[in-house]
Amino acid sequence: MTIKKGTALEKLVAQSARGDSESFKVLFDLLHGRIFAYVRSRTGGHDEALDTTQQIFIELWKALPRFHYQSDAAFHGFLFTIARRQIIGTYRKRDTSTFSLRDAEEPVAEGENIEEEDEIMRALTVLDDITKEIIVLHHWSRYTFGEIGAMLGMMENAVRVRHHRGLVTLKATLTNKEI
Amino acid sequence: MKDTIKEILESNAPSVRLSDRARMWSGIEAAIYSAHGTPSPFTQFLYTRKIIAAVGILAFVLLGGGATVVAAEAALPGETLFKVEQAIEHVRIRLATNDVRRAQLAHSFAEERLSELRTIVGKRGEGSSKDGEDKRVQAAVTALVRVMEESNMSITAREKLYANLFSEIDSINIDVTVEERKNSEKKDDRVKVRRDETGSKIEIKNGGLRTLIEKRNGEVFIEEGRYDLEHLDEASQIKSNIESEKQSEVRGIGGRKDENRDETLRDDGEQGRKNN
Repeated sequence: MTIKKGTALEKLVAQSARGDSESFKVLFDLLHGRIFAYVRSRTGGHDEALDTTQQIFIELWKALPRFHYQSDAAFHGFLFTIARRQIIGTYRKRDTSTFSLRDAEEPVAEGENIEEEDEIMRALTVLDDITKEIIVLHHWSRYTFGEIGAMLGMMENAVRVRHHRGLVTLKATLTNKEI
Repeated sequence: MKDTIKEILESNAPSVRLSDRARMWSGIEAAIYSAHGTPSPFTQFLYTRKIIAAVGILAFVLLGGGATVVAAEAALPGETLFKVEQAIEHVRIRLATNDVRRAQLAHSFAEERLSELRTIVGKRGEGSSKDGEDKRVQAAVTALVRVMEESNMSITAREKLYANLFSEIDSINIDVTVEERKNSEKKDDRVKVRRDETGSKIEIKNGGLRTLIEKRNGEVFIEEGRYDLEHLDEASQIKSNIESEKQSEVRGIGGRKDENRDETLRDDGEQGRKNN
């Protein structure tokens, strides 16, 4: 999935903010995969991630009229702020004190047959929150390091360094698990 | 390791099935049309105003307006500081983290408005002119209606508040305009049907109209029109918007009902001719 840079996204955002649901549908089609991948990495299950993603887009629709478009990166930052808040809200509703994946997932019995995707999810829990977010945003949500830097308020180089270290840790973790 | 770590990661990226995507969009579409409506181009202007108001109030408090804000909390509708109180409440609702909290806040503010209305009503006749008092009652009513109508509080909570509001208005016997009431009724377009425990009474609420259907000694009485009652075998079916006549009385079952209605109409016609 690729999002056309520049005016295309700006136009969709502006039209959606004016209440054009057709434009918002296009925006949803373009972005739901990115958001879902991110949400899935932060929540316990597939269905919960779908519900949360849906709610994020509802919140985005409500919030768009007060968003002033400056750049694609600023819009993605705005969207991911809504996503983070919604994920926190989801966990608050569940009366969970933390929203770490470590707590969300149940321990796995030794010798149990685990799907590769689940194994990746577990390996990601080894990383600290920021590094995990960078890995997920880059490899699953397909954002560039520059865009991730803008979203997280970090320098692009710092994002790259964290990303590299994260991959090394993940590789070590997954090699031990022998995927 | 069968591949590079990047390939493993990317080949396991969570994805959304087409059916899930359609389900999600259907939920989003329903939410944006039913719960909040389509934002109009004017909404942008309102939001801008709200943001300006929020920043203004924050700056005001930071610059030493704290005492005024405290005083504003005790202000009553019609008083100058009351607008500050309303603005603060508005900002608090806007800043709430989720819809549930927003509804709770709106509900507590609405109850505060009701309490203020009662205070104003209680103070009537204590010096100020009748005209001034009536204006303050009107301001209190408008403030209460506004907080209810602009909120996402539940229809049940809203109905209770409206019931209290109208009971308060009835008790003071003055003319009060409740302009937004029609909007409230439009929002609740559900037809509600409630049966009592014995099954002999059925209450139907539809768009603000209440109809009571009661079965007594084998006869069925309809307190208010708009509904026709048909008995088919052992089951009862209610059809709405068929009849508009009021105080219609339906006797017996099945075809007898129609015979009675025809007879009534014929009698009316004969009576009309006699009158002429």
